[in-house]
Amino acid sequence: MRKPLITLALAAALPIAGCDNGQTNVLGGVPAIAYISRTPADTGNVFDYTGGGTDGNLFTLTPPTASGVKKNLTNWAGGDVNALDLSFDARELVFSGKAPGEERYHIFRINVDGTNPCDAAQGKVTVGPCQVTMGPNDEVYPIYLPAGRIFYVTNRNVEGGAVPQFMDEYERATTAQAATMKLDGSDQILGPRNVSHRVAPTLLSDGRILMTEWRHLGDVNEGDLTIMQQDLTGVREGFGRESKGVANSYLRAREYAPGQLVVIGTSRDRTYQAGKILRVNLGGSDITQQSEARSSAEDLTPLVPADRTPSFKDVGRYYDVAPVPGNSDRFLTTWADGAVETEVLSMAKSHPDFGIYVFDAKSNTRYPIVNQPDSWEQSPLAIVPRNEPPTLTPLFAATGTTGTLIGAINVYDSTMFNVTPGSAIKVRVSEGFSSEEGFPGDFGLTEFDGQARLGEVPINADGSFKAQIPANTPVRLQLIDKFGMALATSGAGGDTAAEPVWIQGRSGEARVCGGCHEDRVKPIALAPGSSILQASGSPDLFTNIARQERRSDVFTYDKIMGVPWDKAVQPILSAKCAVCHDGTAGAANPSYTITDVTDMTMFSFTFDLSAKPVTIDAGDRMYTYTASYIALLGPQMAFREKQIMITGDPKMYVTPGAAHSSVVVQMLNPPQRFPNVDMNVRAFPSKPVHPAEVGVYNGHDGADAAYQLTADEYYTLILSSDSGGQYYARENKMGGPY
Amino acid sequence: MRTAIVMMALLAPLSAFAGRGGSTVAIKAAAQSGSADAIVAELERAEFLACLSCIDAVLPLVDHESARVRDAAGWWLGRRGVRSQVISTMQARLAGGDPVAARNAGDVLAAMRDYTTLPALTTYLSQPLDEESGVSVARAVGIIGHPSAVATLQGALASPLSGVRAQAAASLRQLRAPAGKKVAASAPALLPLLGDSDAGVRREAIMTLGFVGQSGGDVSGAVAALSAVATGDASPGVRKAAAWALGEMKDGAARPALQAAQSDSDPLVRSIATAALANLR
Repeated sequence: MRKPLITLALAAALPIAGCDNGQTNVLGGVPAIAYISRTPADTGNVFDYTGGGTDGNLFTLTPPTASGVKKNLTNWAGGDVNALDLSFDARELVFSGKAPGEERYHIFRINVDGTNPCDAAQGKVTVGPCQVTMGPNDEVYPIYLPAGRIFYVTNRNVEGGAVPQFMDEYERATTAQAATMKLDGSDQILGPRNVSHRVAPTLLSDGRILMTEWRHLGDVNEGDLTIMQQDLTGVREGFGRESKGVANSYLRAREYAPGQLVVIGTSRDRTYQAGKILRVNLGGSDITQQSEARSSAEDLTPLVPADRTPSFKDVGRYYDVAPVPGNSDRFLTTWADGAVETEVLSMAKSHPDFGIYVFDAKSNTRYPIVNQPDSWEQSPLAIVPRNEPPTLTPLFAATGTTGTLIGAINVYDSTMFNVTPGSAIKVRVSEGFSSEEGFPGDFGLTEFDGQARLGEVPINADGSFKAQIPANTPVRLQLIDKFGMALATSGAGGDTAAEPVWIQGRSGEARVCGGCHEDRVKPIALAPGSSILQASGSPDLFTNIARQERRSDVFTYDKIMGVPWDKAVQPILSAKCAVCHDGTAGAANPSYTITDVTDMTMFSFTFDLSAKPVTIDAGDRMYTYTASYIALLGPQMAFREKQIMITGDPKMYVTPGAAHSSVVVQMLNPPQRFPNVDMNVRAFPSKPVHPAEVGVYNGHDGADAAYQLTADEYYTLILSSDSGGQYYARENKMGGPY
Repeated sequence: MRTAIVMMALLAPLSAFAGRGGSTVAIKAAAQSGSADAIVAELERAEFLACLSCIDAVLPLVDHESARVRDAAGWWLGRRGVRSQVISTMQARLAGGDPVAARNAGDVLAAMRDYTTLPALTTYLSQPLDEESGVSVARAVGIIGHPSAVATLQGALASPLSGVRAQAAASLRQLRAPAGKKVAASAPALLPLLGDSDAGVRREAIMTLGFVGQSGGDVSGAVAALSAVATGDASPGVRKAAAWALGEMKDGAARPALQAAQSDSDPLVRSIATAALANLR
């Protein structure tokens, strides 16, 4: 089977243009290119912003032909260069690199002719780069902005030094976030934090910034294209979501015409950050018509795997791609032949040999430009002037708050969710965090981040709402029904009215939406001074409270923030449930056994809602939680990737992120909470109210008032489920608050 | 039930599950290849994979030549049933006589981030077997990040090993601030290091001073000391760091020193001094 595949690949592989005397300039009128030359090294995954090479230097090639003149601009020995951009007038380069003797990546500038632009500004003529950022953080991926500013990403924390910067999904790396500064490195402005990395930015011709953002909330784990304004506000989706994607991650996008991008699509890891070349249409050239729903992608290199499987000989993978000015079918690329995949090459004690090529999309031909043995030539840019995009003014500025004002004009306006007008009573706002707060392990058995409810905001009669949240803080929003649950819905967005994405804003920014993922091409017309842009009258959800102090040990409806299982949920279960659900096999306590068919180890469990510690020890992952947590959240969650055999009839009692579809919530059948608590109105009218329907079990009457949950207790269970069903929160973090 | 789980996986969009698909075979193949990227990727993919048979493949990775792999192995093992066993083994290594084993133990405990290991790390840091292992352990203390480790790291600032002093100064930046404070580190403990014989120590101490300054912490006495360093230190890297730190403190008293640094013989010092000047009040 393997042989025919190889044959097919070879037959269909791109031709590489034959040798000439090295004089032909396939780049037309492009007089020179700039590029990076590095000694190969592991790149890490696509979000690894400091890996990928050593001994890097910045070069120009004039003319951009095989026989052109190479000029080493940096002449560093033992340093590195990992990203660059060209000024609008094509006279200067900005790059991120590690100067010789330094340990961290910072931002540097150098003129294309090799002279020092910083010294020139002081009236001196010198040669070599100047450094414009410094300090204990890394600053990488610089691009020029209009009006003499630079955009870059940094792992410095916008919150200051009290808590470390966010860690990524695997708690493996400090995340890179958006920032800007003046050309000389002063006036650094740090953008609001995402929960994970932002890398590989590019400037669109309309002045907006597009970058790759690692998204994860619940099961989502992908690198999508995200757009923001020059002042780091107004973050919105660009491409890769809403089922439009063809790969897991999209990296190093460049615009070749308004609304038209070329981008690398690839797996998150094991491909040296290289993949296939895609053309991405953001939805047309008119930015008012661009939307994720209207976006599309065209695969220019269909033979290149979109996943992490090894690429074939003559197919290879592309590390980056950049437009050739004046030719929308030709692209400057960095390409390596053969199996560009870590494991295969490592077994051969080898690295991919990246070099610079011109890729002609029309003829499917690659033209070699420069490729030295034992080094990577990468990230080529045509040294050609381009128009300076306009300086953008902030989309919406809030008045009257130092926090971020979030709001929507009509929450029922949505292309993703079918929500009946009037069915949503409030908007729940929850912040997200990761292990940087001192959590040594998982938050629990599900894939949700750490969360704390900041509050629930009433929805007005016209469907609008607004609230002030802490600036620079990722939050998620859920529409809440009259029972206090995240609203059940239908549509492309899933079965719960909660978009699976974290949003955030700067101090004084108004994040105002038309609706809940409304049609993105529908204009939002808000006059300056519009009431929805004013903080006045909006609930203040901890805007001036430091992150480590946003916690509550009171678990009533109005006070609860995190839902620490042992402190908030277990007391309810112990008092009202465990008298029957005590782990004694019987009608109320079904038993089951999970057998790991790989290891033939077994885990047996009888339903038990007590606080008794139980260890899941089938297979190697071993957790110790209360029996109740295992009963309601697992242990299936612990075996989600296992070849397992189950005897008995275990249920998934909690659906992480959706109380309305959680069996335990349906059985308990919560009462109406809004506009007032009414124990006679239940969320699931056709279902009984547990435990009253049971009658007498082992001498306990289910209808006894002692076993009935209070409205706040119902809500605690609901919030736990809606928040992802995690065990740990700030309130029960091991090692204390701080 | 099993059938249902398999169907879920098939129906799920491929792109949304980058962190899935791990297996014992994949981990073993990656380990055999020796590729740090492949090993780390497979361990991350196996984040939720429960497999007893993987343990034997991953345990040796705590002694892999790549620090990235040791870190990933520690992270992965820390989420599994062998966690307490691995922690005990690593703590025993810290009490042993093998500096390489102690270095690797520091890396693994850093990845596990268990604050209960701080006493063992603190003891080791007071008398490390060699510089490399001392650096690893000082780094682990910082990554664990518990504010109670301030005293441990401040003690290590007086280590006879320059690498340990430098790493201790760097790790102070990573500690979470005690409740009500803006930052864990403060200037008084760091200022003596500005006269350290090792340029790396001086530079890390300055970085931490700058970090304290940009975080609004206690930098009393730092501006005058850093001004002298910015214009007089023998190392251009140290002068550059000092110029940057002065800019972060924004104190106008640093203006003369930064203006002088604009004429430094090193171009990178000059440009950082210019940026810092623009940041002053």
